Amino acid sequence: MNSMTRMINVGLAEVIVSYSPDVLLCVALGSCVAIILYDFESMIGGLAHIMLPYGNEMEINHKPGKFADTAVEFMLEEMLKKGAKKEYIKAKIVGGAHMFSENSKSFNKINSSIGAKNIYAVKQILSRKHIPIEKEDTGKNYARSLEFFLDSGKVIIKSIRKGTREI
Amino acid sequence: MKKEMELNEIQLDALKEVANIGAGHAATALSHLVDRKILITVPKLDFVRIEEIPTITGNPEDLTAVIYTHIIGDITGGIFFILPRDSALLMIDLLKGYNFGITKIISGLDEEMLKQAGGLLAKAYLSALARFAKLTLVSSSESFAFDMVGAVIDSIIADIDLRAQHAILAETEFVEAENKVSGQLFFVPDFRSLEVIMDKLGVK
Repeated sequence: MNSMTRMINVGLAEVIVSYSPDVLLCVALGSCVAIILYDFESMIGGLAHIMLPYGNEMEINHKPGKFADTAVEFMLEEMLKKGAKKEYIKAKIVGGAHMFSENSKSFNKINSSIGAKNIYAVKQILSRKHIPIEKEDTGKNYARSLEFFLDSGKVIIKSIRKGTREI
Repeated sequence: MKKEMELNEIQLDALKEVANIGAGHAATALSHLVDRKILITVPKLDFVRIEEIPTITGNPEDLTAVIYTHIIGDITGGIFFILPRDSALLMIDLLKGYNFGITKIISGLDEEMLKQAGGLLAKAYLSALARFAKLTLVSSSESFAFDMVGAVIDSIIADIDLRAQHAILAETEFVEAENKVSGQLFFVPDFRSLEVIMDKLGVK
């Protein structure tokens, strides 16, 4: 492994764009979604750790990474600035789980669908940008952590319940 | 920049009184339920920033039981009780009247029991707050998660309100004879509701 490899944690509502051989990490995703964009040619990639689908006009000055729409916009711009080519960019998406088990009598159904809403929005936004989704590990009811290797585009996903898998 | 919200001693005392009354009522209800005397105390109450929550609850990947109740009414928000894995197992021992260390895994029935205990605590806290601050509050039935604590809390904050900036943290102890289990009760009012509470408590 290259001695210059950096492990960079992408926190809540953050977007980080970097180069091979860096590794981007995302820890404990619940209903949040990690949107991963990667250009195989230049090995430039980005990771956005979003919380909700769409930016809220009531909330000015929010971090672009908080919402799927603003995060994709920002991340794509940063990647192109660094030299990535739009036609080589593919996406992987991870997360969007539904973390709670509820009683049927629970009136609170908002909570039950945030993860699903996030996934739905991310897919719409990427499709509008003509970015193909190469792989995904989304939904279900458990938390995930991931490592995104910029030297290969490989993503390793870890969960307490389902162990480790690669996409 | 919005001015930083701070609570003074008097305000914290008012919230601490609410928490103590709530804990007392929850203890009565819980003792009745398990037919043994269980005490619930609030040794410490804090007003914390949302960003501080992960540093309080430990490593984001730690396996933790979380019981979450959504609130609507004069104020909206959420209240959640968290028990790290080991504490959750001790809590099951305590509720079942077992010696500490007997429970090794959480069964479906145990999950229901934790949900009930956490829900009792949340509802007692809310009814104490409603009476104290003269508010009408409605709470949902409780939801349960047992997974990475960071993932669960982020999902709750996304559900309540991303603009929420503060939480009231009541360190809560369940005590039966020499046995003691500690958990943390977080009350997160949404963006506007915190001001409503402060207003109603006359301490804005």
